[in-house]
Amino acid sequence: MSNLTLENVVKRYGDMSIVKGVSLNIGDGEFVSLLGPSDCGKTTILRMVAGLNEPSEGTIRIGSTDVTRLAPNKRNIGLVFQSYALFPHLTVFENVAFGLRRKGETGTALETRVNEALTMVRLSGYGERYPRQLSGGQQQRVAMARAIAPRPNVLLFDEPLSNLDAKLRDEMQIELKRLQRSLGITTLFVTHDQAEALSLSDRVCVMHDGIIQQFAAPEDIYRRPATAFVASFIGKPNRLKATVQNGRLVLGQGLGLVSEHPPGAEGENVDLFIRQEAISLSSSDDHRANRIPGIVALRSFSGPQVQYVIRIADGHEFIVQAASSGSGSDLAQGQHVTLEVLPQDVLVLPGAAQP
Amino acid sequence: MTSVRSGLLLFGPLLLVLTGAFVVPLLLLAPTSFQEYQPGSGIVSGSFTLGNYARIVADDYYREVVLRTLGLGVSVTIACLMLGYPVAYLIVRGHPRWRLPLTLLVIFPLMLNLVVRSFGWIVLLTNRGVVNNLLTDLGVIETPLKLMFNLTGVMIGLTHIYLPFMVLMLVAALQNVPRDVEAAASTLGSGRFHVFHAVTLPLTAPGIIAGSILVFVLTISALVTPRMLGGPTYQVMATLIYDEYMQLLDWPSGSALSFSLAFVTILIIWISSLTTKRWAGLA
Repeated sequence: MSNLTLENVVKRYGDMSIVKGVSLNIGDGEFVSLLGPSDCGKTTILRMVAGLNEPSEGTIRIGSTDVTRLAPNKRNIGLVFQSYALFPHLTVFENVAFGLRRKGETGTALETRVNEALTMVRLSGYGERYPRQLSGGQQQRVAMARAIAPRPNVLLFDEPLSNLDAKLRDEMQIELKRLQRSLGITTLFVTHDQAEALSLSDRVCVMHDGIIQQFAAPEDIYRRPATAFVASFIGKPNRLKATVQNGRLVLGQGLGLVSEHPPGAEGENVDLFIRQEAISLSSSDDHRANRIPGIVALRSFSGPQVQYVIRIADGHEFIVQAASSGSGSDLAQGQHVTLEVLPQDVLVLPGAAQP
Repeated sequence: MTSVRSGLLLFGPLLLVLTGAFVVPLLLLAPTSFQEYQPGSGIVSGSFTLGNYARIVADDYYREVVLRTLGLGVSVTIACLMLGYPVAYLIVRGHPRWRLPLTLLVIFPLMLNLVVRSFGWIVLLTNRGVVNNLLTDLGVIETPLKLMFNLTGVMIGLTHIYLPFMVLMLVAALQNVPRDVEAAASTLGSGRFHVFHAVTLPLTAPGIIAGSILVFVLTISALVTPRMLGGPTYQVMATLIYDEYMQLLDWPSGSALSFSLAFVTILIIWISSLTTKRWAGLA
């Protein structure tokens, strides 16, 4: 086990830069997610760490070893593919044994370690089956067992859960986290699913357009986004344009908001982000709260949550999410309401940045 | 039930053609193979004998031809596989820019008439042909190599003619090998050679077997090329059958040989398909 370091890694294909100078350090045993939309370079980074692509510039280190130009088979890594990439011509046992055999393991020692790995992913007794005889979730678990069995220094996951249906995905998420915790292997997890990244990781690295936007703990990413891209990518916040006047954020039509976050210089145009779940529709006594009157334009019920579209005086529409068990869940279309937002939930970022 | 009926309807036209033009004549030929043939007077009517079949195994000459044909089939298949796999690999895994030109190069010989291609080889391989003249002029050899009217000539010709079939089969098989699976092997500690040996090769087994069956069957039933490059004396089963029918007018013997050839072919296809299943873990 060891830490993983990327120093100023660049990947170019012809004139196109896919990864534009990425540096990050993943601590020993840490679980880090690379989160971003498709084509942001996250999978390319993972493949460069695995040795399947060669960086155009920069250095990759596992522990203290420079592996930048090392062949994948010499890196001692475990990679779980989105497609699982199991060996279809080998049994589950042989799939898991593959890496161990390459390390010279034989006989009962081999058998013990394969069974150990299969037990860890709750598949003991499936050794004699072929991959095609297993369900998608089971194949996914075989792929994990195969990756962890040789005890790699670094575990890499390339969107491993995106081919599973929602219910199975939630189960596998918990299983994956427990597995990684118990093994304590340094892990790099690539995903485009923010909930997955936030719930699994010690730290999340948000990528956009080949550049790291923010590398921080999940709570920081959520509460204190560093860029407009991160703010708009995490959750589906309401985005507003405002101008700073006397420390207030003026929307126009006499509407203004107060934020706890540094609002920027006087007269500057800024972007405001207010999360759907941070807006309250029931009136509270909190004197600090921003209050904006509006009209319910649309209500849609989705089980645990109710979504509203609320139109305010200047014609702008807010999307508001309320728990369907809460008090603000039974508003009718056309009803007058007051939106309440606490100053800490009004995120302010410099304007003009386009996500 | 609808699916069975629509299936039959779809299959019907081909079934009719095959039955009328292939199965029925073949069945009509079956009794002939059990009839006696008297040189000079022809087929003895009403006779029944197993002699035509017994002779294929017992007679030295016939046995030699049968074994030679099977040996030729195996050699040409192996040669096509050895020459074809690297080409197929290059087409599938090489630079995409080379894919089309290479594929065209492979297919191009198929557009030329079989007789023309075999004649081309005669020009190259005869005693005073291009190859021998070149080698003599360079002083490599003094007397011309015997490259025709023997196994060498027939094998060169047939390998060249059936290589495209093998390559196309292997290209299809290689395209079906997921790159991720090979990458997975390399992250698990496999070097390039081991990845090929442990993953790529087994996963292309169905294509290897299919290509081999195709080339083998085509080779043992080939008539034109063995006749042209083997001459009148170096016989294989197909040329022998032709001579039995057309030269000696010994239809019973020719029929028996034909059925034996068909039987061997079916047997080999059956065995190979069993092997494929076991090898590729698809049983």
